[in-house]
Amino acid sequence: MSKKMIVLKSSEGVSFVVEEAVARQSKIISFLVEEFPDRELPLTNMTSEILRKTIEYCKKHVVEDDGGGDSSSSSSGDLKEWDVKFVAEIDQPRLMDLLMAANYLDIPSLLDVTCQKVADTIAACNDEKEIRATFNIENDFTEEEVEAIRMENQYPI
Amino acid sequence: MMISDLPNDLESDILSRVPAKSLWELRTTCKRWYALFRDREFAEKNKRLGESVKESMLLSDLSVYAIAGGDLLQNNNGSIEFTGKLTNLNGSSDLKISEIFHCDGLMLCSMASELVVWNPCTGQTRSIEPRTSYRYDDACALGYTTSSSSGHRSYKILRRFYRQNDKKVLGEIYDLSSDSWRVLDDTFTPLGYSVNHNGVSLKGDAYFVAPRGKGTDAFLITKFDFTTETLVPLSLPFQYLLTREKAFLSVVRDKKIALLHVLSSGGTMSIWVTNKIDDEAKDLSWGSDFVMGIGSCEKNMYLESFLFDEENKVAVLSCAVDLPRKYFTRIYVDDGYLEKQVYEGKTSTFDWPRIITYAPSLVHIPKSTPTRRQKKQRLAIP
Repeated sequence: MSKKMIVLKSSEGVSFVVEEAVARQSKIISFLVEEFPDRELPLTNMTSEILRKTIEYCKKHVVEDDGGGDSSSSSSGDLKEWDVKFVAEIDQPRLMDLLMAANYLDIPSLLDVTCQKVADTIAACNDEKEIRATFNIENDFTEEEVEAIRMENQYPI
Repeated sequence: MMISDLPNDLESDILSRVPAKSLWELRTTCKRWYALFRDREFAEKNKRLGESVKESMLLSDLSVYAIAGGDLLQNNNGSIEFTGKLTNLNGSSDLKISEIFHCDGLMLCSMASELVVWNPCTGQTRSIEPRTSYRYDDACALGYTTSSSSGHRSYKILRRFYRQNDKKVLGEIYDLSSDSWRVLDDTFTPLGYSVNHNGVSLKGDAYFVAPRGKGTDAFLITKFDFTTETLVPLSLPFQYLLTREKAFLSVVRDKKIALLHVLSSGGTMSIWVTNKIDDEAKDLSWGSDFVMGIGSCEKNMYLESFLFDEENKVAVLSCAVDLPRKYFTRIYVDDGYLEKQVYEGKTSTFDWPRIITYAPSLVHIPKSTPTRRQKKQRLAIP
């Protein structure tokens, strides 16, 4: 029996043909393919690059149900390691796009690993200058305000 | 795509995963973050989801030192080094802290005539006005009650004190949200000086070792339930604690109580650990015990506090050493076979050194709010 396929279309109009089981890790796509017989879904807010990455993640995480309960291609330990490598290879702006894609398509596990990666990056920043530079955050404090805040709670250790 | 373009809840989800200490250091990144890190909901979310990176401190010679390397139970191979000393807490530079009680990332610091709640992560403090006055032999504990509707925690202080005229130990409760002391109806058993009488906090309640009653030698563990404001007697892992023996409590992974039992003869020590304490339990159920290494209880050496890693069977112990005209604080690491001294520091007097490992938290200490009557009085004064 041949596998059911669906087509996902990026904002540039590039079509990606993926197995339905792979795409259904997105709760949104899962809902859409059940409700609408249409086999082609336009994802106008996702670039081809981000869509390709998202599909790569879903392919790795798909649990094939044709071979019984333990047919998942990787053990959970291996998968975790793969996830860490997967997000480590993506630069900061693209990681944010991927995070938004996971949020938009509702893929909880991808959202979790991307959020954790951003959190780890924040925790690794030494000061607010570094964090503003890394995440492109505008400093809306005046020097006096910062000084006042630093004076507020005087007894950290 | 920038982090500020994320929907607010997603940004807060991400930030809540970052350890509290790192967040606080980054609070002046932008105004939105500054507001978020001070938000009560966010602080509680961060406590649940944030990576738990523990910190350790030592109270010795009436001073508080931050210990390098975070969790003392994880990093105790080398000698202990300090990263900082607390020099001021109450506006006076002559800081003399005699006791610290830890609850939920907050420290209740007792000084000769002052009581201060301190968040060592954010540096926030609040001085607690006494109802009448504090005494050097008070036993104070910090706890909380949880609102069943909002899930918010209200912090409270239990002060046990000795009343001279009728020779009774009474208790009074301070509510940090309403700024008031209230004397409890219950009387307490004597404070028990052969044990650490302040005890420990677990899930908002205080546990201490106390004499079973006036004039008896028998001790037991007592829980003060901050929700019902009642005393709950709990059993020891063995039948009796003799007068010459000592017992100290510690909390294991925020879930269990550990008891260090020091026998009078031969200096043997054992550590007992309870099973996980759930809210329904009426009494403590104790697991097996763990016999400590040798020689821990030399003459002139007085244990005061301990931490215990149940998985690896490693204990860290602090004790006071009383030598002719010299006093020391020492810290040992004991794995049941070997005992290694990892710290020794001279102290000016004999005192009770305490080691604390805690998860830093952004929890905000409610500010004191003058009551209407006080406000009026204040206005009345020209």
